[in-house]
Formats: sequence, structure tokens, C-alpha cells
Amino acid sequence: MATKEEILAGLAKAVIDGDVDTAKKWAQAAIDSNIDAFEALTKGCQQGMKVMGDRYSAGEAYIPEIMLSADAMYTTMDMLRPHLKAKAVAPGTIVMGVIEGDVHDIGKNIVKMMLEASSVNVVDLGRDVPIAAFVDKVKEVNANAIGMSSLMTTCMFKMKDVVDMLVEQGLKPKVKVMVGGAPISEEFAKSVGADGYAPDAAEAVKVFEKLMRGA
Amino acid sequence: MFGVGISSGGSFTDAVIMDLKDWRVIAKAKSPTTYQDFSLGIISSLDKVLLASQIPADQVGLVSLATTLATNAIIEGRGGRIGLILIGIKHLELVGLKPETARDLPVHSVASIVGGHGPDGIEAAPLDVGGVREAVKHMLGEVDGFAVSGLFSVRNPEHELTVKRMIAQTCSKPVVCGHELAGSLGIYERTVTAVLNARIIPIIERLMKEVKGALAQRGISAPLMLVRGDGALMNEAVALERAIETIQSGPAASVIGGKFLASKDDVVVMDIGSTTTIISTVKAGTVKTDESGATISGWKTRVRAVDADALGNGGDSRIWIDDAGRLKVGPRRVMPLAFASIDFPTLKEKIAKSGSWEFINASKAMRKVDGSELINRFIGTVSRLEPITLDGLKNELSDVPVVDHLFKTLDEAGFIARIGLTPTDLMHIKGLFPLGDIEAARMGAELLAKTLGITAEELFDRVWKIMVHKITLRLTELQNSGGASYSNSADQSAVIGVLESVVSGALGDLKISCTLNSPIVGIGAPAHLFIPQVAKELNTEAIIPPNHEVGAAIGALIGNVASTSEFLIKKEMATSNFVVFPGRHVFTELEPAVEFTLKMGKEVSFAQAKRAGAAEIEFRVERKDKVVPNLGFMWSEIKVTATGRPSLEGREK
Amino acid sequence: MVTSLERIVAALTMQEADRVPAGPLVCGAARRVYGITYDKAARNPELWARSLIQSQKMIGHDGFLLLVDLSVECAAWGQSVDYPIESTPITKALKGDPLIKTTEDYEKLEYVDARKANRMKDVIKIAEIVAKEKGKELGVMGFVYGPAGTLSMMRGLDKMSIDLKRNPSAVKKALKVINDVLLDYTVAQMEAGVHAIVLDVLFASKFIWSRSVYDEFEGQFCTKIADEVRKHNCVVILHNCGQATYFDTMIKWYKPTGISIHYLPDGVTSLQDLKEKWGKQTAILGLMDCPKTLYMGTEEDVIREAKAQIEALAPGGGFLLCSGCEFPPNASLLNARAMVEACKMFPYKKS
Repeated sequence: MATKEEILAGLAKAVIDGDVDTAKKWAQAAIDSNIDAFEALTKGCQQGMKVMGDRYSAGEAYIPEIMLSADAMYTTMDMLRPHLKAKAVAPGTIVMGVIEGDVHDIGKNIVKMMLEASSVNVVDLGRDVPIAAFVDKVKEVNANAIGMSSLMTTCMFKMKDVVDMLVEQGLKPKVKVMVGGAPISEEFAKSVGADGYAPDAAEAVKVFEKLMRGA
Repeated sequence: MFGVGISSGGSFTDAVIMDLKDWRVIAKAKSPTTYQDFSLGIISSLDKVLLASQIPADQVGLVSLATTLATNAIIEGRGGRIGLILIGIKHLELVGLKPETARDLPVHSVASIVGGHGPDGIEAAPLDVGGVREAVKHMLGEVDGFAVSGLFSVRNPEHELTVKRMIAQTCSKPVVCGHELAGSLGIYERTVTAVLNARIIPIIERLMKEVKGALAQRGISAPLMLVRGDGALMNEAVALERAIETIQSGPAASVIGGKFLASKDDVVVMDIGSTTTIISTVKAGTVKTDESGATISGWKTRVRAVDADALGNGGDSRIWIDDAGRLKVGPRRVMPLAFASIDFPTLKEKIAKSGSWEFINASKAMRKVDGSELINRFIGTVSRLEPITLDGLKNELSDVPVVDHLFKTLDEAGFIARIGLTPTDLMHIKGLFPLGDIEAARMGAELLAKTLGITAEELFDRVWKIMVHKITLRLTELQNSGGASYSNSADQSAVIGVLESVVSGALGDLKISCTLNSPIVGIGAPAHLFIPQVAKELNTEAIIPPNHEVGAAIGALIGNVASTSEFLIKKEMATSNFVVFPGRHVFTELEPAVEFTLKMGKEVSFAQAKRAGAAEIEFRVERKDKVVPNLGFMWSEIKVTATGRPSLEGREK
Repeated sequence: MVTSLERIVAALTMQEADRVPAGPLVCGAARRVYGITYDKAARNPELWARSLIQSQKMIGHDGFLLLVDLSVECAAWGQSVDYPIESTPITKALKGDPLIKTTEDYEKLEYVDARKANRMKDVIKIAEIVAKEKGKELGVMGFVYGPAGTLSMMRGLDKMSIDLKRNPSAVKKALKVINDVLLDYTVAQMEAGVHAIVLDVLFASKFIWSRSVYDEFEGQFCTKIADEVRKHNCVVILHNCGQATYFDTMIKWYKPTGISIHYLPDGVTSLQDLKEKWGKQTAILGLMDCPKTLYMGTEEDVIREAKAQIEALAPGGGFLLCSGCEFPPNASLLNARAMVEACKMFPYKKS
């Protein structure tokens, strides 16, 4: 029987290695040894994902490795989720998507993984998301924030329309808006009325946390 | 030609008659405000001022009125039954229509119709015309008026206008659209504004009718103007469509009057009224307004109104002793003993007998309540024509187990009228305000002073200090929050704490002083009693101009007629077109779009101002461009305001 | 009088002609000179070619790039493509309808005839028109999206990245088929008369693939295309608008005459550093910032940025002032003209 420390380290390593089979084994071991599922997630696989996020930012890991790790992380999350005793206290819920007309979602997916690795509740609308869908989903899941990305100059201005939708429906001060994507700058973010801008995935997590703290 | 300005405040309705050529005050008068029927107080003050001035009726060219009637009606929940038609709103709770929001809109019935527009002014879904027809059919017999509010109607009002046309074809009841009263985003606020407006139209209509009738009887055919919350004037025709814009007209009239009387472009105006002290700021000749819209009785509207801070400290604030034995002033308002003694001639006897200086009586609203046997008995006891002390009430109802609870409930609901010691009483004792019964005031003051173990003179000094301190602190906070931005609320409370220490001199040997850069103008009858001390605390000048006691009535008369229309020019990046909203007028270049907007803006606001009774119209254009470094032009917000003196031509007959 | 073509050849061969050649890569933006919507232009080779020619007359740049969009190549195998009215056409693989739905589908890709293939044949037609009309005085550059890029447009980069770790042989099989077709496509463009082939090798970037993955999944196949271009006496130019690109890897496989970039390559810290480290091994095309300067900036911003790049990279030849990626299709065309103006304002300094 492996110790708790070994299991947590095993989970983290399996995620880092993007090894789905090993990750499954460690997740099962965690369940069998009655390790708190929340701890297994946060101190096990999410730690692994954080390592990968840092490596990607530093140019030490690439998209294939990130995708494999994400695959392993999601597999273990699916296994551990039913064993969560109480609902984990998420720092917030964010509705994310790539803005209408744009389908470049790799960046958005990486941000999503990093947020989930920080226990943020992410509702992913995918890519080419119509502007009204963001607000509808925010209402439906009672989200605290919207995260939008765009890689195309032809689409990025639709972010302003989403913000207008929030303002029109009286959701703006309550629901925070963060944006990102290659053509997006801090100035652009401000000008469309976004509350936060992040140049990369690691920063996005910090920005989200800051917005949720209301600072 | 002469003009009459009237302002109905919390206790008094002031009237002033001025020469329209040189703005000389010819005469002034005061009458009690008559809440059950505002027109009585208005007409009474009008008669008084006409009499005092000896000006013949045909020499009156203008009558202008600032009234809290709309505000009161909203606070009391009065108004017509309204059918609300919402367009394109998927989430009804966003407009306050779900039980979980606790506050439902004051509407009789609601229909939610498919339709509405997107932020780009493009139709989100076609208007469900059949649904509108059906809804109107059902509402028609049950409502007094309609409110129509559609998603993004400020970008494209087409659907609201279609619904309005459809209703107009079936009946002549008033129909108010959200976009007509507000130019900015916020479906909730626009809906609230439209609903409240539709509700109070009949109330304002009745007032105008009564005042007009009284004017006609006296041979006055001058136009009747109402003051808006931003201080501008509008004639009856427009006031009947935009009744809601009269909210906050009292504070607006007093700040405009204060600015006028002080002849200064940078001042802080303080109007010390009987109920509250109102503080507002004038910078570079412009009255500060709350662009996001005034909040009334908890309802956030989109009505542009003067940014006035109401501090619950006026002449009628309750002077009382808290559980810890500390002397307090306000924020509750009570009827001063000096005045109550005139209404209830046995009051002095009761003070002497009970040894109490506080009494209760039923409000007029309570007299109309018809409830259970228990409540009726309670009401019967309270409603006798004589005031009673709280202990006396409890004694009489000692067999009623829930008397405390009942009292509390009715008191919170505003059904209990209270009588007690106030700064107004102390002013009577000092001989500063000799209108009421000085003896009753003195009896109350001495009893309270005795309870604290001090003399009446000491009480006077301590109450004064508290009042000056409160007003000064609030003013300091306001000035501070106007300029500072805090990274969090803890910082803000820390700063306020320091300010409090400065104002109260609680820093021991350390002396920090605050200096207000603008002078303070005092408006309202007791202004001269407080403002000089407040100004001294803040190292600035106090201006107590002649006629300060009728400053609001003067402000009601000297305002201009104005109408503002708002536009947005947005660059649409996918096409590089410039689109003018409302309405989606597409241009390929910016300059023609701006030209078009200015032309349309001038046409629209000219027509509206003229309709509201303006003459010699001038335009003011405010243009705010969003140009971001490296991004270039993004959008432009353009406001065109048409302003003119009220036309003195006779009212339409 | 130096022609545009001579100017380009000089710059690519590390010589100084009269001035730096200007290459705002006006592709999708060109349609706007005739007011044609994107969806129409992208499906009508005649209109596209006419738009390119007309826009060059207005802007005055030195060469054409025959890129329509990155979903031309994948369409040859039947990948469905979406044509928005006013935006770049885009493979539906990224909208939930990939041609390759499972790993088995990789092995189902078969050889197709590039000259007859849907969309590729349109680009070949565009090449014919433009080369025939303008090829004598202006540079005409064909365009081919590399095999890995093309495959990602039928599968999605995220899925493909997992597949190449778990099922490398299937992915390689598909890449081999794709590369063969792209080779034909390249030859067809050269036969139509283009002077150069711009090969888009986007994945040679630190933020996408590692060097070794790149070698294994694109380099080893695509190198053949570069060899073929040289055989036809045409010029190999690489395009990579990714961040931190691998110049070493790209030069190893393709021996390009020029590399067109948007961002500084991996390990390079400044324009001066770029010139010093790589300026002798390859000509450099770029690096006008598309979103920030060409799209959002003013003409003054364009000239300011162009000046800095010309000063750092042009001396001694080997630099073409190009947009770092396609000129933004919705940006002001005056910014493209400002690039040309900048090249005229800051000629080579006579030494």
C-alpha cells in the first residue's frame, strides 16, 4: 500500500508525464486508501498541471505535452469527482469562450486548464461563441466572471458588444470581464470596458484571483 | 413682466415674485406644505406673494414650480395601474420581476414579448406583433397607462415605437417608452423609469390642473413651468409626458438658487431645510449632476438629476438621549413642540403632567387604515385628536400582548407621527425663529436638559455643536470622495476616520485642519445659524445672501428650458463603417457621421425644447471620443442640448 | 530605373538596390478595392487576382503573395470550409466538423490531384493571371501551407498534438500523403509562373512544438518541397508568424533564401541581435506588427516602426519590409501604403 504522499506525488507525476494509464492507477489508489478526493485533486493532479503551465510559459514544454497532461488531469478529475465529500469551495465561476467569428481556441483551452488547475469552476462555451450566449450562460450558472479571447482583428471588437450586453442587463459591476489573445493589449481591454487582461495563461489565473478578491 | 417661483419643501412652500428683467426680488412668502393636497399650499403661497407684491395678475408672465409631489408619490407607492410590455428580455429577474429580487416593479400586469435588439442595433428577434396585440387586449380594461421597455432600445427604438403605435391605435391611455426618458444602457433602470413615469403621470396631471385652475381664477394666463431634477424647466405639455423628471426638483432649485444668489461659479450650496440638509456642488458654473441617474425610494432610475447629498439633519431633527445616556440629534424627523403646541393646545399641559417631551399621534395615512379589531383599537387609541406619550399608550393598551411589536411595525411603516424636541424649538427659545409656541419649546428643552443634568443653555450649545459637526463631517467626506479614489473600503474608512478626528478636534495636541477651496452658500431659513460655523471649521467663507430663506423658490424661477438628446457613433471593425445610434445609420467615414449626428441632434433637441416652452434657443454639444493609443478612434458619445429662456407667450388654451 | 522585381532579388541576395522592397502582404484586404465581400472573393480566382493587381496599383508594393487563406490545402481532401461574409474563410475542423474524426481516419487520406482539387486549382489560376500580367516587373510569390499545418486544418491542433504522441505512425502516414500532394501543388504554382514559393512552417515555434517533434513531423517530409523549388530555379522563402521561431531548424531543413517572421526568433533579443545572428545566413522579411501597428495604428505609427526596422536590418541588403503576417484584412489600406512610403523615405545609406 502506497502512502498518501506517494499517491499525491504519483498523481502529479502522471499528469506531468501525460500518462493517462498511470494517472488512472494513482487515482484509484487514492480512492481505495480513502484519501480526500479534494486533496487528491488539488495537491495531486492540479500540482502537476501547474508545473506544466510553468514549463509551457518558460518554453520547456510544448502543446503536445500540455495536451497530454490535460488529458490525464481530466481523466483523474472524472474519477475523483464522485468522491468529493463537500463541494469544493471554488474561488468563483467563469464562463469562457472564443468570441463569435473566431475559432482559435488553443490559447483559451490552456487558460481554461490553468484555471481549473486552480480549482476555478470553468464553464467552457468553446469557440465561435455568439455574444448573447455569454450573458445567457452567466445568468444560467450565476457566474462571477466572463473570459473571452480572440486571435482575429476582425472579431476582437465584439468583446465590446458582450460588455454592452452586461451593462444593458445590469450585470456589469457584479460580473467581471477578462480578455486575452494575441492582438489584445491592456489598452484595448480597458477601452472595451473589461476589468482584466492577461498576456498568458499563468497571468490569467492571477488576474482572475485578483478580480474575485475585488481588489 | 414678473415671474413667480414656487418651491414646496418638506414643511414649507416658499414663493417669490421677481422682475424678469433684472431678477430683483419684489416679494416673498411662506406657507405650510399641505401633503394631502399640494396645490393648497402652493395656491396659498401664491396668494400671499401676489398680495405682498401688489403686482397685478396680467403682469405675471411666468409661473414656475418645484415640487416634491412626484418624489412623495413614488415613496408612498401611489400612482396609476400600469401594464408593462417588455421586449426581448429573457431574464425577467433583471428587471425586478422575480420573487427572489424581493422588490417587484410596481406594475399591474406584465407581458414579456419576443423581440428586441442587439448592441449593434440589429434586431435580435423579430417583434412578436401577435403577442403584443394579445397582451394589450388583456391589459386594456385593467390599466391606466402603459410602459414599454425593450432590450437595447437606446441603440434601436423601433420595437418600442411599434408597440407604442399599436397601443395608441386601440386607446388614448398614456404610453411611456424606455428610450424616450433615457439615452444610456441599462434595461432595468430604463424600465423602472418608464414604469414610475407612467404611474405618476395622473398625479402630476391633477396638480397641474388644480394650479392652472387657480391661476386662471386669479387672471394669470402665464405659462406654468415645472422644475426638473437637473434644474431645467419644462412646460405642462412636456411635464405630462416626463413627469418622473420632476424628482429631485427641490434640491435642484435650491442649488441653482444658491449659485444665483451667491453670484459665484465655484461654490458649495447647503440648503438647511426643516427635514434635511442638502449639500450640492457647483464647479465652473455647472451644477454637478448624477449622470447615471437618480435613485428614489430604492429605485434606480435613469433620470438625470442634481447630485445632492441629503443629510438627515435639519431644523426638525429629533433631539434625543440614547440608551447609553448620550445626547443625539436626528436622523429621525419629528414635529417640533413649538408647532405641535399650536395644533394641540393641550400639549403644554401634557408635558407638565407626564414629564415627557416626546409624544405620538397617528399620521393621516394611519387614520385611513382599516385592519383587524386589534389594530383598529390600537389605531383608535393613537388616533385620538390628542397626542399621547408612548408610556401612556402602553398603559391604555396593557391588555394587548403585542403592543410593542405593533407600535414598532406601524412606526416603521410611517403611520406614527411623532412630536418632540428639535433644533427648531431651540431656535424658538433663542428668539431666532418666532413662529410657534416658545413656551412649549422651553418646557421640552428644560426637561431634556434636566435628564442630562445640564442647563438649557448648555443643551443649546451641545446640540449646535453636534449639528455643525455632522454637517461639517459630511461635507468633508463628500469633498474628499469627489477627488480621491481608494484601492479598498478599508482605506476609505481610515481616511474618514482621520477626517472625523480633524473635524472633532480629537487629536489632542496634534492640529490638522481642513480647508475647503470654495465658499459655502447657505440657503433655507436657518442657514445663517449654522453655515458660518461650518465655514469656520473648514477655513472658508460663508455666504448668507439676502433672500436665502426663499433660495429654492428663486432657483425654480431662474432655470432655463432645456432638452438633451444622446447619440453614439461606433466604428464597426469588421466593416470599418461608422454607425450612428440610435437607429443604425451607417457611414463609411467619420466626419459625415458626426455631421449627420449633430444635424439630427440639433433638430431633435430644438423641437423638444421648443415644445417644452423654450424661446431664443441655443445649442451646446458635448462630444466624448474614445480614442485609444494604438487603437485609434473607437466610438464617440455625443450629447446635444438645446437651451432657452422660457417663452412668455400665454399657455395654450 | 530599378523594377520591383530587381529590388526584391537584390535584397534577397544581400545586395542594396535603390531602397528596401516593401511587402505589405496584402491578400484578403485586396478585395476591398472593388468592394467585394470576402466570401465571394475567396471563391472567385478571377476576382481575387484582379483585386490583387488593382490594390498593388493603389498601394505600390513590390510584390504579390498568393495566399488566399490557410484552408485552401485541406479542402483538397474534402475538408468542409466556412466562408463568412466579411472574414477569412476557415476550416470547419475548428468548428466541430473535422475531416479526421478518429485516429483511424489518418490512414484513410489518399493522394489527390492538386491541379484539379477544389480551392488549390483556384490558387493556381490566380498565379497564372498575376504572373502573366505582372510577373515581369513585380515579384510574384506562391504560397503553400506545410504538411503539418494542412493536417491540423483537418483534425485540430490540440487533437493532432495528442495523436502524434500516442499514434505517431498514423499521423506520419497522413503527413506523407499530404506532402506528396503539396509537392504537386508547389510545382503547379511554379509552372504558372511564380518567382518564389512561400512555405508556411508555423509549427517550428517554441510555443507549439519542440524542435525534435518538428523534425519528426514536418521537417523530414517538407524538405522535399524546398528541394523541388530549387530544382525549378525558384526561390524558397519560409513564413512563420509564430513566437520564438526556430531559425536553426528551419535553415537546416529548407536552406531558405529568406524567412518571413512576425516576432523575434528563439534566442534573439533585438532587431540588431537578429541581424547579427542570422542576417548572413538568410534574408529577413517582416516584422511589421499586424494587429498593433497595421490594424490599430496610424500611418505615423507605421512609419515610425518601419524606420526602426529599416535602420536595424536593411544595411547591406537582406531585408524586405513586410507585414509580419498577412496584412490585416480589415485594416486601413493607407497603412499598407505607409509601408511603401517608409521604404521610399529611408533609402539605403550610400556608404
